Amino acid sequence: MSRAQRNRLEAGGLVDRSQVLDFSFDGKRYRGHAGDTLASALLANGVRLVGRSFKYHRPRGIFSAGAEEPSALVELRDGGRREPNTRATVAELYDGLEATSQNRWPSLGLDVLSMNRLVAPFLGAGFYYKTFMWPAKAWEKLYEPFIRRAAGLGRAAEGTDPDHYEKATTFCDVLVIGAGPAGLMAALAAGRTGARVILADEDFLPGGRLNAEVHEIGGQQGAAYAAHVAAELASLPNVRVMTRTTVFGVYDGGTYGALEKVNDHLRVPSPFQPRHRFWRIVARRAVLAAGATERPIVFGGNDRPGVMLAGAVGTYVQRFAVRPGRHVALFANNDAAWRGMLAAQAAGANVEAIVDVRGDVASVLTEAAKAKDIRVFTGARVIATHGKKLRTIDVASAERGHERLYIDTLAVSGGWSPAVHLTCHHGGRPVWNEAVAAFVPGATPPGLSVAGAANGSFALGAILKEGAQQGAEAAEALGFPVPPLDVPHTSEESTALQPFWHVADSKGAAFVDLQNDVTAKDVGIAHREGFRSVEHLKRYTTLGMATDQGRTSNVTGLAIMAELTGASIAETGTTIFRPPYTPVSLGALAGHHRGKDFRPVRLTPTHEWAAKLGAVFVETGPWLRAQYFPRKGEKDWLETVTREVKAVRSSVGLIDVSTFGKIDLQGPDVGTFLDRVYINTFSTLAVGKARYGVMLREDGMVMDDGTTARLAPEHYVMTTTTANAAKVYQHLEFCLQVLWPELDVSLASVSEHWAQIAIAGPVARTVLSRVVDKDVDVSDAALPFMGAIEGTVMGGVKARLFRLSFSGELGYEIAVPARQGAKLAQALMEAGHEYGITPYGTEALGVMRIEKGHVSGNELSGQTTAGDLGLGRMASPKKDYIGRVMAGRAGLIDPDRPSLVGFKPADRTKRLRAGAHFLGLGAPADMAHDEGYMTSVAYSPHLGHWIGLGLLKGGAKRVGDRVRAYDPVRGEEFELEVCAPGFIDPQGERLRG
Amino acid sequence: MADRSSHDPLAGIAFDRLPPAGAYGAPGEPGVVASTAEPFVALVLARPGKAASVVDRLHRAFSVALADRPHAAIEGNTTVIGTAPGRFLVLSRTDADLFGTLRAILGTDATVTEQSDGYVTFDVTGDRVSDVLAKGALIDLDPVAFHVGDAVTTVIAHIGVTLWRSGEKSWRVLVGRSYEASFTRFLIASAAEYGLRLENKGSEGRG
Repeated sequence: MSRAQRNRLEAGGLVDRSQVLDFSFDGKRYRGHAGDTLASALLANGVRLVGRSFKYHRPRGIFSAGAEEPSALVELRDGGRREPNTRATVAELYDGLEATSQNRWPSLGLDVLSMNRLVAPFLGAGFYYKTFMWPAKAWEKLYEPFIRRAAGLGRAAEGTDPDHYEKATTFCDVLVIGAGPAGLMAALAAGRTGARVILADEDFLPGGRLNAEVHEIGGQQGAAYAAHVAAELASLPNVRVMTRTTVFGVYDGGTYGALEKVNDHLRVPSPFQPRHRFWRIVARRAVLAAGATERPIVFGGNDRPGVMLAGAVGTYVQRFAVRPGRHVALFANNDAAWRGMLAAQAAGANVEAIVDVRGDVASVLTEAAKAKDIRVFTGARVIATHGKKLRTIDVASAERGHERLYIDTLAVSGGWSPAVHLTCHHGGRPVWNEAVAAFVPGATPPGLSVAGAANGSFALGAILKEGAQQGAEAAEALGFPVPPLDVPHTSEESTALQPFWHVADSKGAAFVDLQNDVTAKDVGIAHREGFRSVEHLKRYTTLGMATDQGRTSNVTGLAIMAELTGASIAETGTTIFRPPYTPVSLGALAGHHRGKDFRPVRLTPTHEWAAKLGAVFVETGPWLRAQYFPRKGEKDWLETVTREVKAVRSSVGLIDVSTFGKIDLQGPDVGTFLDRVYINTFSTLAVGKARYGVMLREDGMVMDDGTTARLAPEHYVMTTTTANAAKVYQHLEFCLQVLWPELDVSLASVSEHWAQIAIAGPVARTVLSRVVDKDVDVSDAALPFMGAIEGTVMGGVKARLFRLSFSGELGYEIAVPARQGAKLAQALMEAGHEYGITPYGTEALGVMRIEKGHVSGNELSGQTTAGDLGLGRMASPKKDYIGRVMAGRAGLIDPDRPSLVGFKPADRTKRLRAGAHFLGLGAPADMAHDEGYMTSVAYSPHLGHWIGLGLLKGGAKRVGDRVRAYDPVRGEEFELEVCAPGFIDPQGERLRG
Repeated sequence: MADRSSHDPLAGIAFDRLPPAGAYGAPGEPGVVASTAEPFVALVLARPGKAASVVDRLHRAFSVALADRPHAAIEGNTTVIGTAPGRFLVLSRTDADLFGTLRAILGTDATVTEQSDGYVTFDVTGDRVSDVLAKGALIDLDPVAFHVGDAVTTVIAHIGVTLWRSGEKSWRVLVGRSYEASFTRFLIASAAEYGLRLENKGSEGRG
């Protein structure tokens, strides 16, 4: 049964009383209205205790009405949507909202860990640096689990988040950050020029303080005026108003990061809508109108539920029509807080006392207060508070001594801190402005100007004027003609304030940072122990850390430190702010790129065909390639792969190799160009021939390998490895555009255009001859080993035929336009049916290349030279090429460098493992005796045991030696025979058959 | 898929298959209609010093006016997109021997490379196209900034694309053949809130 909203005012506010929303907190059901936040709805229902503090588990209530909230952190939702540490003050109320308090056990009312308060002397600043050091073992077993339990915030969701998230980019001329009075005027001024304007605000209702205070602007109520301006902005086609959108960071080139909470105001996102959207807003100019955050005064017992920022009290009364309590008092040092309290009184709050540290307060304020029967204490301080939830306060003044007041809501105001955060994102440091007793923006990011309270202008008239001016100037700077804009009239208001930070003679724990439980005493400890710079103060005490990033505590903390050191606040300085301004969901940063969509997947031309044959696929870079084609009855992949290899070696098999990079090179200088990028010579390659090539990086290491064929005098086609396709193309472009622009060479990637199928095995030629058109001669004479011709297949389909072999068998690669790839695979299957033609995958391909001793990605690791791989003799001594000079460095030609050899287990039943290290027989297993490692292993169906390739110190001259394979990861160690890296047909007779 | 729920527009769609034609996302009149086509494509690269001559020859052959910026010139069944100085992608809906045609037109002024099977194009139309593309491209695609005929080569959802605005509410995106399924997934996810009708002609005809 829902209870009545006993603290809801009869009239006023910007909530829609006709819309009743049900919600629950810690299982109890309540009602609120559309337009409420969770915090305002809780207060309307008289709920004041909402959480326990981080370290001492002290009862905490609602402290603010905005993003600065340090205390009222709750868990929203459940299951995969559970969301810890949500600030109740910015959580928009929705029907069915379920919130629970956090960091309490067993319940919010009775928290056993509040005993922490009894050990508080040991939990002070820097306690983790000093305590629990001994005995060492107790840390893991005792201290850490205890601290983790005690000092937790909320619980993260355990299930998969069922919602989806998006990213988007938008562009504008002028971005206005914040839709308070300055932001509205800036957007209006810029919008009326015709410039593309984006106005972003984290709130769901534009207006900022105009919705939370009582003002008259041009004859209208402040809130009504805000609505009026927002409506005009919405009507302008060149203006986009983005509510529920927090600009959280300023990046390079006028790029701003923003988080739009598209569906947080609903229990479950609307179908097909994302929960959050991460925006990159690229703006030529920006106006920061983020307003200011009220700061508290530090005094004993200032953290009890019921102690609240004065502006928040005003906001709850004016915007949400909620009385935060029955008996309200104000403790302040400034005129604005008085005005807010008098307005709250007029709206129905029962304000009973105003305590001001100043001895001299303008009589217009004191008279107005007295006229409403509000007791006024000037030159006074609150020195203590009492009650689990606030019941009484003790006030001390020279005039009246000590007095106890029965107060359940104490509004506190120590002045205002401009929201300068975004101005710091390019390294700008805020500067102390004595006149307004606040840090105001220093250097701002390029293109960003600041208006209104964020700039330290606190009087409404000045704010409106500044906003309009900054908006107009931003548009004008971009060349938009600026029509005159009348800034509406508003009454003069005093912003008088006397800086005051800390009631030093108050009783009880006086909290500076409510979220991290950092007290004024902790600041003193930091000072005594020498952690006096603001950066040290922050790290040592944790002041200003966690979700609220010290919005209400930074300035008071450093002001107290300044008092202790005797330095001025300006000399003490402030920490600066990094993005994000408020927490950003990781889901939004990922957008749709999660799970298998983490990055795009590329499908080969034969993907569907292979899938129908039951292929198991493997991710190779972005590609999905057929890994092997299991058949019924095969017990594991090894059995399948062994069958595939045997079929190729004894008859014929086929594999899709379309994923190799393929680059067409045309022009009279291609030969010269290739001679410079490959270590071997290509200008002498005959038309109709292919050659294996190796290219180096500038540093002399191997970059890539592959075959390049000459199809015509001025037309070559290069293949690269799958992994390096893009890198090699980029490298060639760089060489042509930057190194040798004088060469007449055209480059075109044709990787996507051509499907390429390799067939291999003793009967490969017979099968091939059945798919080529009649006039195409594939005889050994017409198409010898390393031959390359163009022709047609399957009745007129253009094709490129290469006689190449990676497997060591008689082999061909047939390229056809990609959309004919699957058809070609099928045609080959039919042509080879009588020979039992077998489709094979990347595993069998790998086995055969290891048997043959060919290098691949495992060996082309970026740490190997051509010499290391046994390819050193390919390098032409007659020409220059990229990497030649650096490859000649002493360390790279050291004959003791690990280089490529083959391995067999001495005991042929042993399984080899890639990654195993080589050690001499009897040598100790340590780094000093390391002789290299195994790069690739396979079970060789040809030999009937495991074989491997590896890089061994001394390389080829060790053939015949024995070494140990040492694999501490798998706990294995056994003897190996070193052999030449070629386990099958070393003379290459099969290739030439 | 196991890690997707019904709130995810990609729920239940295999990541390694071409999503079938049909309606996706919000019901009702779709905000975006996408259809794929497989035009004949060739890449033209001007030889050193011949860019002006290539522009001239293309103009005479196809009546396309080529600007000195990323630009799509559309004339009848032919679209010529300038993607870099002296670099043009030529698309034809009808000329099966586009490669031969271009070789004849350009002579030794340019090299021509066949690319017909390398690409698929997505014709994307509707009121919300620029909103959808903005979820992928870091390019100012606002219709007030990106005009009919403007073209750009960029990246959408980690996929390299060339896209151009072919009409007031129609856009065309050229995508590598192997990325067709992944790009379709981008469209399904990003257009979900507006509704998407996918007209997938598969590899049937040339568009």
